[in-house]
Amino acid sequence: MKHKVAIRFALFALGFLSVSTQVYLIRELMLVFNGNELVFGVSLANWLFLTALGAWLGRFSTRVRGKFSFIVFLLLLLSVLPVLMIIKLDFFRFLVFPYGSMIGLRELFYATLVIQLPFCLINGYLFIALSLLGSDDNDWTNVPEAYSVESFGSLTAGLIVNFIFLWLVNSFLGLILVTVVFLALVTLYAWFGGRRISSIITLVVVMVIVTGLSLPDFQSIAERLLYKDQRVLADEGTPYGQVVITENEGQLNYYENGFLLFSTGNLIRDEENVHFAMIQNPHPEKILMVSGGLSGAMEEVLKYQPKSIDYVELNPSLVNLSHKFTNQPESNVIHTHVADARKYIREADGFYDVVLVNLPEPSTIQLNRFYTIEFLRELKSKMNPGAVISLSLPTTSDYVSEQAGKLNSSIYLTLKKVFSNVIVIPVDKNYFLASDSFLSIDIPDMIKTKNIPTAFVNSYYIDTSQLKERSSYIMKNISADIDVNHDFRPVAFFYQLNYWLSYFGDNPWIIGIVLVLLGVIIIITLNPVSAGLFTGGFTGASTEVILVLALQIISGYVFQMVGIVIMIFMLGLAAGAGVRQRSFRIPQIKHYLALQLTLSCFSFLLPFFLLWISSLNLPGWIIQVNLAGLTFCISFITGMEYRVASCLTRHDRVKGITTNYAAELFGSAFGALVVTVFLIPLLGFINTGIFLAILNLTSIAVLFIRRKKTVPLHNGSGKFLLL
Amino acid sequence: MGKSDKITKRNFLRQSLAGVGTAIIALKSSHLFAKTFSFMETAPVNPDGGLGKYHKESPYYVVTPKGVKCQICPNNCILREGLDSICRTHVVKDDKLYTIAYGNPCSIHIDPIEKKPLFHFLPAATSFSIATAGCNLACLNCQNWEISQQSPRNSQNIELFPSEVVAEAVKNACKTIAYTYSEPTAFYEYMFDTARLAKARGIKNLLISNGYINEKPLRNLAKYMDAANINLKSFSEDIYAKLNGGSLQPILNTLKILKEEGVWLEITNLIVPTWTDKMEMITEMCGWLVKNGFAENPLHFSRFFPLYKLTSLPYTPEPTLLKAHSIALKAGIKYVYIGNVPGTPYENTYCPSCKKNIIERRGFTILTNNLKSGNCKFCGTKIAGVWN
Repeated sequence: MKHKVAIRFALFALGFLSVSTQVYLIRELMLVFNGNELVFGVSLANWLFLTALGAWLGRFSTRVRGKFSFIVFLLLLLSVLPVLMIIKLDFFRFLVFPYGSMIGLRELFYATLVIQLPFCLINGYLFIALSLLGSDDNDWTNVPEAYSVESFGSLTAGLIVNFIFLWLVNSFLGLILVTVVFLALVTLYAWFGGRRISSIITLVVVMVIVTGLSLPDFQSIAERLLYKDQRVLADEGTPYGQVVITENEGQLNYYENGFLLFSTGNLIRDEENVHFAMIQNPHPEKILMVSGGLSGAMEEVLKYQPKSIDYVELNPSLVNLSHKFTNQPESNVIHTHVADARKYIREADGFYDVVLVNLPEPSTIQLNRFYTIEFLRELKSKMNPGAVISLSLPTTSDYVSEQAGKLNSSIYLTLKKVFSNVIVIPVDKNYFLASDSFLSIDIPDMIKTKNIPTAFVNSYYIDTSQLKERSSYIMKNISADIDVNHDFRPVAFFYQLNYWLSYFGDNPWIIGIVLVLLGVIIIITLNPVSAGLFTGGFTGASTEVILVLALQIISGYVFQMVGIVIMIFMLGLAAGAGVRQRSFRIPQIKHYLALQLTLSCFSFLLPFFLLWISSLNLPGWIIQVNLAGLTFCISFITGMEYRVASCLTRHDRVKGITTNYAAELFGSAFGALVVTVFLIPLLGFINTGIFLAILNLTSIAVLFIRRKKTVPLHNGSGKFLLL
Repeated sequence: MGKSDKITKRNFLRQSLAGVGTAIIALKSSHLFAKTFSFMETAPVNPDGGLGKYHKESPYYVVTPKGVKCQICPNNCILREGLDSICRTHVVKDDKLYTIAYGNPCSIHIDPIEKKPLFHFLPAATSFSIATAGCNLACLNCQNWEISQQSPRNSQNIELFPSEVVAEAVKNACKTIAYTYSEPTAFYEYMFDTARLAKARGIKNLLISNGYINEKPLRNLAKYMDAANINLKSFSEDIYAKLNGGSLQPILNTLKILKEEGVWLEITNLIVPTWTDKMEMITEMCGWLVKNGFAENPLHFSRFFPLYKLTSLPYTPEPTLLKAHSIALKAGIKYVYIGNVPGTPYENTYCPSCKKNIIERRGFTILTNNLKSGNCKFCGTKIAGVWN
């Protein structure tokens, strides 16, 4: 009994450390490598692949002598790796790659592989080793229970890290605290495992490690590496990401997640962001500015003496820090709102004359929400007749590449669906202005007529004839064959991703083909039960992504809610794997088929449900509860699938545990990457749901056809097609 | 070995297929991922060796036992059929070197001459500006990376042969033709033929270049060039290698050759934070320029904006630019400008003797001009440049 209790402590600890490390590591990766969804997807996929590989190696754990001591040794080794990984990441980044440069996908792939390899291999190995240690041939339920316990550990980590640590302490300190908790659990494992001396030694090692890790100020060292030649004035870890303000020769630079948001004293950008749109409206009285108002743009807006400026910014830390370090204009017409801009617009009173959307290009699905037809329609409903909107994309004033052309086209056509007039002003960025009123490209002349004082946006720096020529050049490269950008079909995000990949000469389709081929190879080498887990893992990860995105689209970006959805997913997995219902006492093939069929129906119906619920005007909390419930359902089914699969493969316990766990991880890895980068942007939510349904139906068909060879006979004999 | 230990035929076939498939994907992926940590790109494969319509034999090459050696720029690519040069615009066929960037520019615009920047050459003139795809360097912060890091085969081009370029320039009343945007050394032959025709028509030729070119082609080209702006990106071999994928010495040679050949020369230095903003290096650079006779040639310090792959760096602080400006003046350079800072007084030309404002500029507009026959109106000092 104590032995089982000990193993449960170890499994719980493993889940706890794994998810904590994943959260911090991915945050750091996004910060150091200036991440977008593809960066996130590749990093996560590498993590899952390597863990699956470690799990596969776990099959050899039965041959290890002195298993217990070896496991304790590995657990201790695992405990120091998270902090070392972050340190390695920061050093690696700047020792290997040129300072300040963006990293391409290939480099990222190898970098994350090297950095994550030790932790993930050991993590995967330990899960299998502990599962095997805690199970025997007579009781197959120990295997899904191991999965369940580990999932509870993950859930606990998610709660503590997302809702406590991230708000209160920096990454290094957070990881050290996580390490302390982990090692305490390892000590309990050693104690309850009957190794009191080992547990005392572990405790001593804990204290030494924690002391050792706490001594150097890693945070400052990392800052000096990341922000070379700059003095760090503020470094705040917020749930929305890391906000850092640096100073260099009096210029302040604001970074969020490693991205430079703005530098002070950049008149060109501030004026372009404001005047192109403001000058179009004869009497701009009520202004809405979405982000980008802390750099100096607000002063430009005030030159028009508006009656009201509503400034919306998502991250409260940015607002607070900017007031502390930068001279923000004091005016009673400025009203700052800390909120998700889409949520704000839906709930806003009144109507605007000018809307300035000063966000980066749609490089993430989260940002893409501000370039969709649904957003523009919502916005228009809060705009006065003839009001003007401005948004921007990377510049193509000298040349329009194929990839940039598609991006420009998508945004242009999306705007054109909502507004009668759209013009493009190509300067340092491509500014898209849209309105139902006439729009003029003769900006310098209008500035002069209205006598607005500007340093850059005037006839001295901008020649109207050249502006018209370049604008006309961009318009010639607008293609009518390109898709309009939607919330539930974010094509502009895919075009932007494609454009980003062209920086490095990469083609996303090659990545897609490689993934598909790898996926097919993995599926055909697996037995039908494990293949079902692969598709189940794929579906589970995909639907989790869909639900998180839907939450953002429908409710706006609420970080805590996203964290809650992920926690509920973990809870569902744990509950599903641990369920002890009478009808599942000895699960059979028909139960497994039924679960897969349920997954298939669920994935098919989910997008329709999401579209329906988004069309209703329900209060935010009802939507969130619904989405949370759906999340629990999908993860519960996935967890149950694992439980049933464990029974069906119980006759070769070692291979069964290893293959099942690895298959599910592989499936999740594929799901996370493929659905974010390809399926949702290209197919949209509905077609992605159909794709997932077909995938599961295919898995059902294969299993049904080969069911007699797969299911063990009652007397325990029979052949099994297992790896 | 028992019966149950034997692998079935189906299993064997299945796993063999999986193994072979995985190996193929791994090999293909490793080819795709081959250039992992390299910022100097190896020569891309030119699969068909075809020349296309826009080709011409290059005059600068030699056949060696290893292949055909291009001699236009210090990359000195040695090519065989099927391989492109580093600049992506030269290929080999039947032991001859050809350019495939001839008559197919991808970028054509009319710009004010001050945009190049050229402040002491035909002020307020317009410039018919062209470029094909391709470049012999690989700067991490390239402003025109979409065409410079691209082959003319893949860019969206317009057909415009040299005589047509000149005709268009005349039609648009442009006094000058600028070879710019990407890197004109990469389309040397096209530039050379166009410049020759333009000169015959009385149109001035402007070379806006990174200066990474060998002596012989440069001297021949210089006969037809009237002005040049050379980008002196740093004063360090190490930085040139890591930031730009090139080398410093050839650029210094280019500056000297252009001066010897009588081409009006202006120099631009982009100050990139953490890379090229060290005042010691700027001091050394200015010292070299003065020592080698470039004191009268305008030096433009430009503010860096995050671009292309260098997006994690901040903008260049204004005080840094001002410091560089001050160092250059102290070193003895007479005409020093600051670019990309609207409203700065350092867009103006000041007389090096009486310090008065001779040419007041805002952006690309000349507000006042106090030159008289190329001399300062106030004190009579000759102001270096080509004023009409």
